[in-house]
Amino acid sequence: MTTAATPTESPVSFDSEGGRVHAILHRPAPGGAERPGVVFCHGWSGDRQGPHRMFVKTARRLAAQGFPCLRLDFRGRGSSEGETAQATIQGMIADTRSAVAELGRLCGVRTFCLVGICSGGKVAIGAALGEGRVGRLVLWSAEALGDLREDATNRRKSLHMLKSYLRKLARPETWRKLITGRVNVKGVRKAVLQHETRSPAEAAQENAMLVAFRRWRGEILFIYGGNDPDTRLAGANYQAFCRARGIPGEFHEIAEANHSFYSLAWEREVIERSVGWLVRRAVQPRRCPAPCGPDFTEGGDTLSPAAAGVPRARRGHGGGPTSSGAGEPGATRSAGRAAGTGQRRPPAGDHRASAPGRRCGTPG
Amino acid sequence: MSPAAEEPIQIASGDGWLSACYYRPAGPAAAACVICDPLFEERKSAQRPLVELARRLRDAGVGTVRFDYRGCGDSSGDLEAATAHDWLADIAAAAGLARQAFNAAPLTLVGVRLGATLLLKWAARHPEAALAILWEPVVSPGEYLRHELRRKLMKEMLTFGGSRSSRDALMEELERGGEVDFDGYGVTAALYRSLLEIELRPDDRPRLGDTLLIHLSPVERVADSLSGLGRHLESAGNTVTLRALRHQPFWNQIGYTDCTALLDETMAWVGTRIQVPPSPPAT
Repeated sequence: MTTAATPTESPVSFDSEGGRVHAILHRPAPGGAERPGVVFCHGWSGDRQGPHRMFVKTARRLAAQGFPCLRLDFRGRGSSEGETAQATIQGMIADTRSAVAELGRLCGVRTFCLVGICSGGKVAIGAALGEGRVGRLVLWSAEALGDLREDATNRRKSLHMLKSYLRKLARPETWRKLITGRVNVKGVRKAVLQHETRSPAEAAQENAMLVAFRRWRGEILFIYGGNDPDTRLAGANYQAFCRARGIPGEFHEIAEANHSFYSLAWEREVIERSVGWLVRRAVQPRRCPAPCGPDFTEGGDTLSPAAAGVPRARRGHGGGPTSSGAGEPGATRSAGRAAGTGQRRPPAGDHRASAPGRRCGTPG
Repeated sequence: MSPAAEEPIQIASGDGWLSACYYRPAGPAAAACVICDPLFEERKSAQRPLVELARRLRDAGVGTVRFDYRGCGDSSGDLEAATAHDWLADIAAAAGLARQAFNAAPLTLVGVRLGATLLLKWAARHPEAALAILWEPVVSPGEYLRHELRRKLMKEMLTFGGSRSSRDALMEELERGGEVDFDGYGVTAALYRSLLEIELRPDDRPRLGDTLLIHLSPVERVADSLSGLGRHLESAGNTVTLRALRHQPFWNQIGYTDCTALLDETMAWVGTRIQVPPSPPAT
C-alpha cells in the first residue's frame, strides 16, 4: 500500500479518561531530522478530517516534511467512543493531551504543535497551557475564549443569518418551499436565534484559561476568513490580548474567506501558510516553553476579565485581525505584523521579532 | 465494551487503500453489513449517525464495516484523482472483506444519499445482497450536482452580494473537461461524468432482497422520485418497504442532529428480519 520511502498512515486507538479515542497517525519516512509532533483539534461539530479534508491534506503535507501527525476524533465525535450529547470542551482538552502523550510514545517526539479550527482552537489553547511540551499553536478561525467572546458576537451572527434568509426570500423557489411546507422552520429559527451557550461553570473555566494564557510564551499563528461573522471580534480581541501580554502571535486574514474556508483557493492558502510557518520554525527551532500557569482544568483559578488582563478590541477601529495589505478583490490580506511587537514582519523564512524578555525559550 | 468490538483497519482497493472500521458482534454474526457513506460535506454531517447505526447493528448481531471511498475521508488519494467507478470497486472490496470477516453471513447493504446511489449501481452488477437499507437515496446524480451548483451560487450571492459565475457556465466548464470547486471539493470532469454514469437506468436490476427505503422531510409524504425508485426496485424482484419520516435532513446540518427516530425505525425493521444466532457455549 505504501513504500518505506514515503510517509505512512495508520489507524491508532488510545484511552482518554476511560473512553476509547480513534485517530489516524501520519508517520514520516524514517531517517529525517527530528520535527515536532503535530496534533489536530477539530471543531465542536467536526471530525478528524476537518472541513473538506483540510486536516488530511495538511497532515499529509507535514508528514512529507518530516512531522509526525495525529488526527483524532474527540470522544463523542466522529468514530470515537462516547456520547455525542455529553461532549465538553474540557473533555476535548483532555483528549488532546492524551493524543500528545500517544504521539510522543509512538514516534518518540519531544515537542509538539497543535493545529485547531473553530472551537478546536480554544481546545488547543487549553491543552497547551497544561502541557509544557507544546510550543506552537496554529489556529484557524479560532473561537474567542471566555470573556474575549462578547454578546456582540452573537448579535453579529444573528444579523448575518437574518440577512441571508431575507435575501433568500427574494427567490421564487423559497416561496414555493414555504407554501408547500418544505421549509425547515426549526432549522431557520435555530440558525438565527440559537448560539453557543455556556454554563456559568464553563464560562469560569474559560476565564481561568485566559488567566493562564497570559503567561503563555509559545508562538501562535492565527488565520481568519475575512467573511466570517466571528472574525472581526474574535481575531481583533485575540490580537489585542497577545499584544498586551507579549505573546508572539502572528495574524493572517484571508480576504473574502468564510469560517471554514469553503473554497479550494482559500483552503490552499490556509495550508500553504500553516505548513510554511511550521517548517520555517522547525528548521530554526526554539526551546519549548516551560509550562505556563496552573492547569485550569482542575478549576479554581478564576479572575474577572479585568483582573485577568483581558483587553478589548475597540469596535469600529478597522476591526478584524488586521486591515493592512488589503488589496484588490480576490487578493488575500496578510496581517503583516506580529502582535507581540507591532513591528512589520520580516520576510518569509526570517526570524520574526518578538517581545524581548518575555519568552521563556530562546530562539535557536 | 471490549476494544476489539470496534477495530479500525485499512482495506486494499485498486491502487490505494480504504480507511475502514469493523464493528464486531459479541457472538457469531447473523449478517455481514457494509455502510456506504454519502459524499462531499454530506459525509461529515452523516458520519456520527452512521457510526451510531453501525454500533446498533453490531449490538443486534450484524457484523458491520464502515469505510471511506478513495479520495474521501481518511482513505488514500485525492478526490481530484477519483471517479465513481473507483468507488464501485471500493464497495466490492469492503463487501468482500465484510463477508470474509463475518463468516460469509448474508450481505446487508446500507447507503445514504449518493452512497445509496453507488450501492444501487453496484447491486445491479453484483446480486449478492439479502437486505438493503436506503436513507434518502439520490435518484439522479445529475440533478444532485445541478442542485449543489445552485447552492454554491446562492452562497456566493449571500457572501459577495452577487454570483461570480452561472450554473450554465460551471456545467460547461465540466463538460469541457475542467474542474469545478464544490465548496472546497475539486470535482473534475472525469468525476462528474462518472457520477452521471451511476444513475440507475431502466434496464438496471439491482438485487437487494428485502429493502427499506426511507425518505426524510418536513412533511410525512414519500417524494415522487422515491416512489418511482421503489417501483423500479420491486420490478427487479425486491421486496420494498417505503417509509416517510418527519426528520431533519441530517446530512446537511452543521451541528449535531438527533437521529434517534430514524435509527429506531431502521432497527425495528432490521429486528424483524434478522435472527441473531445463539452464541457458542462458553468453554
